Amino acid sequence: MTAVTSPPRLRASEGCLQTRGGVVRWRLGLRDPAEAASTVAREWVEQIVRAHGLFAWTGFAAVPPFMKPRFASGGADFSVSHSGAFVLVAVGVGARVGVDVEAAPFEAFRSTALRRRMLTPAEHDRLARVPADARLPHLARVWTAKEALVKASGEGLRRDFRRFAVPALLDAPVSPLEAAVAVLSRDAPPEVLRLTPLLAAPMPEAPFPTPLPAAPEAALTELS
Amino acid sequence: MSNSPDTTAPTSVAALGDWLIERIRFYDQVDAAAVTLDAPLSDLGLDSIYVLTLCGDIEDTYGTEIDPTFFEGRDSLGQVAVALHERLAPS
Repeated sequence: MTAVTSPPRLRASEGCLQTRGGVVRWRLGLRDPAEAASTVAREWVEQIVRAHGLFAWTGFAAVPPFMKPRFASGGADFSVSHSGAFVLVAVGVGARVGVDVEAAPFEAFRSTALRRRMLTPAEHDRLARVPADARLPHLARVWTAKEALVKASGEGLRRDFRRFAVPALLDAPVSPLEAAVAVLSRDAPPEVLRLTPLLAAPMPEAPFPTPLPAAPEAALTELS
Repeated sequence: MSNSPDTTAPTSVAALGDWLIERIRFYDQVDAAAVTLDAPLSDLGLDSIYVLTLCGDIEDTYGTEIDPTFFEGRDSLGQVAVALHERLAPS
């Protein structure tokens, strides 16, 4: 007799952004703890490409560690991130994309060394005005926006986080999860979409419906 | 970590290796036993947050600013220790 077990009920939200000349599809959700986050992320990317017929699927290219992943062929772009049980992926056609997700307790952001390397002087001043018990989520919010942006551009940590600013959305409620999607489209300013507000609604069980309401966009401030 | 460089910090390759292992274990992203000088950097849980944190920790401890690109092309903590030793050597 063979025992039959049901697969875990996974939950995720999925959405679509229309950009100037392109489209970005993203999925944010919880993975099966038995599966590696990187494996889940790549499966989700492939599912999005196939389910929406974005282009003919030919797999992923082999890239060295610390380099932005890319598809084996075609001009589409994708980005993946994971933190704890959460996974976030996005696929861009006609636009470059970058994503980042950070889940509480955000302990890494206690490091003064990290804060010094990730914030502009103005962001340091702003942090000082944030209530002490909200500083870690605030820093996670800033980090996810910046990290998503440099992943979209492909610059990664070669771009100095101390030299560009993102709005910290001081009035936004504290969240145990921060997630951002950055989109770079030709002839358009960079956009960073904060997905966290979507978490106020329950995540649907798989299969994932689309689209969900878009979250507010955030502009970027470049330092000279 | 203090913001003042620790001028008494040992700077031999071996001591730098020990210090790097201690820092990566403190970050607590992978099992402590997996953090060795020979382990691939990509297996140590050094995502962007912890690469940037390590840059700041090096600056705090050894008084030299390190860019994240310093780690590109280094395959292991042992290679990082050698490169850091060369960076810290008096010119």
